[in-house]
Amino acid sequence: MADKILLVIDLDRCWGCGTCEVACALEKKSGPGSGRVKVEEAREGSALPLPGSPQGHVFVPVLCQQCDDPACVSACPVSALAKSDSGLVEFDAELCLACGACESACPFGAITLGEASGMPEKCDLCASRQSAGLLPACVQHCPGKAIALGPFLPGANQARGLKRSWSFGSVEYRARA
Amino acid sequence: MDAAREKRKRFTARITGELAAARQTSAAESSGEAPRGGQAPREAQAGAGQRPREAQAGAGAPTARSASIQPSPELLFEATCRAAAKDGLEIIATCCFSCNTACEVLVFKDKTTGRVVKIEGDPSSPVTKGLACPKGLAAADLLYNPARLKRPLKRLEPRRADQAQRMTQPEPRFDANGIPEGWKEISWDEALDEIASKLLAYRESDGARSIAFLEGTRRGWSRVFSRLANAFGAPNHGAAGWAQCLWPRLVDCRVTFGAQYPESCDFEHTNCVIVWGSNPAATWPLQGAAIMDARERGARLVVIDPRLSETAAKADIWLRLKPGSDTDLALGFLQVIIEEGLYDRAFVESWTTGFPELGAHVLWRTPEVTEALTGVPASAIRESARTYATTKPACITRCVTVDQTIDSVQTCRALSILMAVTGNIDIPGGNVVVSSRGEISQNSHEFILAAKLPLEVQKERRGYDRFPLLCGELSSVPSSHMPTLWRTILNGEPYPVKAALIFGSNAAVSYTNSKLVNEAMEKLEFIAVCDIFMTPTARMADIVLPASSWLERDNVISSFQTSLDHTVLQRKCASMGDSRSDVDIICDLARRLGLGQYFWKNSEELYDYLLSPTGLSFRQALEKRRLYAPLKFGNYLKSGFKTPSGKVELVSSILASKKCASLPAGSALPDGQGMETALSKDKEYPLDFSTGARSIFFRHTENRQNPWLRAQQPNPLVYLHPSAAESRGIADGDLVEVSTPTGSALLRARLEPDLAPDFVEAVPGWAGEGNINKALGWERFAEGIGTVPMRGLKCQVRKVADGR
Repeated sequence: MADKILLVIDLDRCWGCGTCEVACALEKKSGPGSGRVKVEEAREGSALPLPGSPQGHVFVPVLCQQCDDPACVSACPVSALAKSDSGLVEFDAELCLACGACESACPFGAITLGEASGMPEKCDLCASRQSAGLLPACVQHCPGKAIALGPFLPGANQARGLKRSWSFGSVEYRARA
Repeated sequence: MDAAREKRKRFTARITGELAAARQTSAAESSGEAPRGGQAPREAQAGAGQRPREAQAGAGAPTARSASIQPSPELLFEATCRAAAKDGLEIIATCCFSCNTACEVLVFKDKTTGRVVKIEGDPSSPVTKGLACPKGLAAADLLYNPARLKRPLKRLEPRRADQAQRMTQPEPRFDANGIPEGWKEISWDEALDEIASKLLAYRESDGARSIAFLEGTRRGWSRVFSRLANAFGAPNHGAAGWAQCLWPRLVDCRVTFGAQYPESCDFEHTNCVIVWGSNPAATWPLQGAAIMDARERGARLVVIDPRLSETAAKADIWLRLKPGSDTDLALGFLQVIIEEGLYDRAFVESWTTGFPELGAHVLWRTPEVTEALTGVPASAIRESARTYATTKPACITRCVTVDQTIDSVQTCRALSILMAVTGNIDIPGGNVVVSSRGEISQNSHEFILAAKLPLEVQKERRGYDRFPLLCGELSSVPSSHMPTLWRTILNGEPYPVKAALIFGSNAAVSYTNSKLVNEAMEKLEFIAVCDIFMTPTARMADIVLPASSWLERDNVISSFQTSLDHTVLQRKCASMGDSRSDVDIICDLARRLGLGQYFWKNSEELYDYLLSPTGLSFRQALEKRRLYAPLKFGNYLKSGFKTPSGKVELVSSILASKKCASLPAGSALPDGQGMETALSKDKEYPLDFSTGARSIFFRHTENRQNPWLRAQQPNPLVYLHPSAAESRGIADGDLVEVSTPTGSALLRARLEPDLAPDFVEAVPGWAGEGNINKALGWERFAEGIGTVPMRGLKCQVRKVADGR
């Protein structure tokens, strides 16, 4: 479990509308349909009841997990990617060779080489917005308020029982226990 | 599937699987939440008359810990302004009109170029708390899309000259100057003078009834177009919605309560929400957010929908009813509530009429009978009815679905009766009426000058005799029955209709029975269209007027769809070409029609007039940004309900006086003969069919031109069950033809395992071959109001050759 949780995603509140995808694409000017977060869905199969939906249809925003042990960092031949003390996996465009090793290495499909730029694009938790005192674009606009700056969710309470959490790095997913 | 998508899918499976495993461990360790179908955990259940506000006051508030993380709205707003200033951007606070919710937003303009560079939700808004949906975030495209209309246009050749091109080319071609081929730019004076002279000439030669005044969702909220129709003396005024959107609900409000209780919910204080047939997660995000908050507090959520929508995915109880069987389900709820004595005796005795008749009316509708009619298991009917009746306070939210059944007004009535007998009217956490902020409403017969149309002219309105709830005084805007009017336009009976003035409506796409409607439009001698883009409707016009988008106009927006307790102000942020607000256009046109005395000099004068009771000018109100008045409860205690009896009329005396059913009839039990007829027809069109699914990226026929939104949802979709698909050789993403006896449309199959195997649901609003309205006919209309049913139809689906 990471000691620095920077972003919390509540699967009980995400309804898969895609606002985060559009907000991100517009904020990062990465082109229509090219946001750095993508919402995937899962449906109940024969396995255990899924979290996040009493009816077994769950939506999961997938984005850079800011991993504790990032595969992209290991794969990068020129150390253009590095896990910082803040918990963020930071990217240095000046060093980048645009070789695509990080894209191949990321196990979550959270880094892509931009169609226009050819450079790696991944979520940086809107670092420039945050340094200006703003919320990341997805956090501010999410209609379901399913995405929040970590480690606590605003408005979350225990009325329906404790939440379980899960993370690879500095992004935490939660669902009711 | 590309590699990244495959990885994301694997990640999703892993995280949900591991969280599920963790959940199972924890469930074994502790009591956890109530099991599916149980009662929500709650300390005490408030009685009918009690107000749980204090009891629940802090429950939804952020905890101290969380409050320390998230910056306050004020700090966020200040930071936003500082950051904008640093980037050379000016911020204009306004509200969006990408849909009727009208969320408060911030528009960022480059100080040097004057261009709108981005749009964000307003974090300081007490209404939205900063949220925005994709339509609003991406709305700068309304200004800068190359196809945006900028100046009035006049057709160069007669309509038949370019008919073939219009049929085969889905989009108009533009020349080097951005003017559509076959059109020339003209001045506003020339355009409006020509329209005025045509309208006056047709009124002179064929009477005002020969001109159809048609509108749609408009490009900004106003009722001045209806005012113009009435001032001009035109009985034939209508819209693609109305009888299929909101009017049935409002007729119900009027005859049952005399006020709009059923349209608004006090989610903040509720303990139980029934979402009846709508999907606010996609269509009304602000409401969806309020429901999520209520749910987080522990409120129960019941969703009624034939499809496992995004909202239904969050439901404690999801009722998958047969499409269109809403009235039967509601009557089944009532049977349980009355038989088990779960109704609010005090409220029923003091404040309703007709309860004994209601009891007798639903007596036979046991959960088992209701199961046969709706497909919802009897046990789930009992459980949901009990949950709603015993979890106080509770509210029901409804939207357009209940307007689109075969008995629209009666479906709405059945829900209103549920709200009333459970005593959930006008209490905190129940169904409530919005507060009055003092301004003059445009939603009144006074405002639209309904009385100015003489009775003998009203009687000429198409549909007047058959559909009194739509065409007469009970209607929000007394208006024509559009299928009847379109047929009149087509065949000239009983009188010729020769011209149409169309404001903010993409009629060629948005009406059902599209083929017939398009044929009728081709017959019109003169068409003028006011819109933002060169829509299929605008391409049929003789004169096209460029309306301004919401970014280019002022407005006073006061609607239950926006807020229960706020009126919000819209401020002009930009201008594009010579486009004008449709309010300004209508005021200008009215002067040229000799009706200036009924109108305002310009839109601002109208807004000053609307705000005059508040003591504020429009400019002053803009500075305040919004007007506020708190919700009030128990309003009826003072003066009763504004119905003939002064009570909630479970049995409606007004409907009886209009020769309509005074109680919702619902379906009869299928008899042997009925079944046989159904079976023979079912062979050709065996699938249940609705056109109810909506997307968050579009509204009605709008927004398909916006690349940011289109990328999210590139194709018209039809949802169907994997087994129905498999037996027809259809795979996910295949192009399929959905057909009915009326017509067919081509859509992309989206397989949904949670649907009933014999149900398909199409997404409406697409132009061209994907327009599902081509498959909707006019065989049946709802009693009294003439609704074209769009739920519970029948269709066939087959795979077709695909260009891919």
